[in-house]
Amino acid sequence: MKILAIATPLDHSGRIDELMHAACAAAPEGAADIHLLLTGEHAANDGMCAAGARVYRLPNPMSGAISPDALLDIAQRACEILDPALLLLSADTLGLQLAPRLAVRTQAAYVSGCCGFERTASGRLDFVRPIYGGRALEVLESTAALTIATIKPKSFADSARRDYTANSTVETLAIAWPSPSSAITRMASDTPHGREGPDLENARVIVSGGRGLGNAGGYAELRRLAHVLDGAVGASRAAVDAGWIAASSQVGQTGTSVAPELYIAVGISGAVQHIAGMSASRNIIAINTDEEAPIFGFANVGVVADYRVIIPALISELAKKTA
Amino acid sequence: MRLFVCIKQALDWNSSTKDFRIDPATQQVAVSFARHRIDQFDEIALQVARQYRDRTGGEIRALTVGAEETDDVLRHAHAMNVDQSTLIETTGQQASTAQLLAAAITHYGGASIVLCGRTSSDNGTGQTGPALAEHLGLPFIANIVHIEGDEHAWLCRCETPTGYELLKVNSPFVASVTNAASNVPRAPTMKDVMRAHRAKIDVLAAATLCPASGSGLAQNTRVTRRYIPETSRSCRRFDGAPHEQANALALYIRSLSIGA
Ligand SMILES: Cc1cc2nc3c(=O)[nH]c(=O)nc-3n(C[C@H](O)[C@H](O)[C@H](O)COP(=O)(O)OP(=O)(O)OC[C@H]3O[C@@H](n4cnc5c(N)ncnc54)[C@H](O)[C@@H]3O)c2cc1C
Repeated sequence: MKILAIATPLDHSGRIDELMHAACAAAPEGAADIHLLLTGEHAANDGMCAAGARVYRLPNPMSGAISPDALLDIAQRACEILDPALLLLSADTLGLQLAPRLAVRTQAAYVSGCCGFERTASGRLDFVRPIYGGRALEVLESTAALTIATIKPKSFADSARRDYTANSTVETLAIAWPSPSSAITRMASDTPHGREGPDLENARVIVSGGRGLGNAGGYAELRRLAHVLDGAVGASRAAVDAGWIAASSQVGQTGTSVAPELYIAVGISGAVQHIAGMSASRNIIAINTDEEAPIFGFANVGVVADYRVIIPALISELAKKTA
Repeated sequence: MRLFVCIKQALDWNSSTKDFRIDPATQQVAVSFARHRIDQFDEIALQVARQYRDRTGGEIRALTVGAEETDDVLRHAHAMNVDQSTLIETTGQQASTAQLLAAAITHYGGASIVLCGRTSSDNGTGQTGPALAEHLGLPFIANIVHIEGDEHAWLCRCETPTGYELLKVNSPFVASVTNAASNVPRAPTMKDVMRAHRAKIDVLAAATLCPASGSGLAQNTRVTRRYIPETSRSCRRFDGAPHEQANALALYIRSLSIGA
């Protein structure tokens, strides 16, 4: 089965690893035919090598400006030339808009936010994806010659790497970048405060704060705790909307999806939209003054307490043992 | 100026969904006392359309695809002050939702702006907006929160993973809408609800809009199974004085080999 992954200029190295892990997971045992089209300035990474991918480089000559329409044309051309059975894109804002459009153009089946594969007894590849904000999963069968799947971040990060002896090879693909459409012009962009601390998506530990912090100052305590645990600071949308912390820190349905080893939810009630982005965490600690808060229903460990008391106490407990 | 807003009915998460489960026989979600209402992002799309129309003018038509009983969601749209509404009535497996919506918009002479919700709370694929743009041959813009400007010089404020950006758009477009402080849907008043009750809802038959003989109308995926993953976490509570709680938490964290 021929698998083509397309990395957009927004896919960082970790995402490309995930695309490659997903490709390996989808490939039938021992018969990987994995192709990777890089449309940005990506360096070679572990994932590509492990997958033994054939790599095509097609960096954007108009560096900086990312035109979804141009990427769509390129993806369509790549499908025509390579004729894959499965095409993978990241399920980020860009991938989620490119994939359905490409599926219409190529009459493909579309699987949104794929988080796993299943092989049936007859050897057919089925697709697993979350529904109802992650409360349930559905398994889909594709009935088209081409299936396009967007890969849910953090779903394939741990999948066992296969030991392909082949190294990746770099090849050329005769596709020219189309000139960007003139219908849409970017006038301005604002990123209120930059991203803070370690990368949220890849952190082993996330200390996340919500409206229960009461004010922006509450994050100072959470940052101290995150520092001790070598973790990143996250937030609920309520805290982002209040202007207490950057939008890039938001976890949830409309923010980042995370799956750290440990997620500490502080002053977060546990709204479905928040849970959708963090329920895949390995271990969850909830700290909340309200013993009825729904977040406790998703946590492994809960403490009913005021964070202003418990966080400093926890920091000094953690310091004690290392001393 | 013709604005179309594509909306649908979904399970209301704010009503109790504690006993959420999948019925193994039907593979459908089963919730006791399930309540349905307009999907969250679709309602926000209506709010954005209405804010734009009230400032700039134009007409809003709400569209939904479904069986006859789904016209509740269009009543809600009328309560939020849309000018017209259409039920695209389906009677079994036919064209995709995006194909039907595109055909209806073409039937009405095309659009200046088409808005959809960012994603749905049930299937959550986020595919209808982008696919619709493709069927209509229009550009697609993701996650807008606000629209200003005139025909062919629209200014769209959009959420990005790190903040916001402002895009100028000089052709009709399709966009998905996301939530922001500026577009929280205004709850309808009693008067709005009464008026909505009397509003006329147009009906288009899906079979006429997209005759089955057309090419590429097949649904390309089939659900084989739905299930609830086993992640039964039972929450251990640490009680006691704050220092005891903190101590127990620290031990727990260390047991995960975190925090040195
Ligand atoms: C379309 C849409 C999309 C959304 N997307 C997201 C998303 O991606 N991510 C997201 O997070 N939300 C999202 N939301 C918002 C979501 O519905 C909730 O409103 C939000 O998650 C609530 O944030 P919170 O838990 O911080 O605040 P609240 O629900 O207000 O909870 C605050 C909690 O803090 C506790 N508390 C108060 N004081 C203290 C104290 N001193 N110490 C400890 N605990 C305390 C309270 O008991 C309470 O449980 C979305 C909403 C909509 C409509």
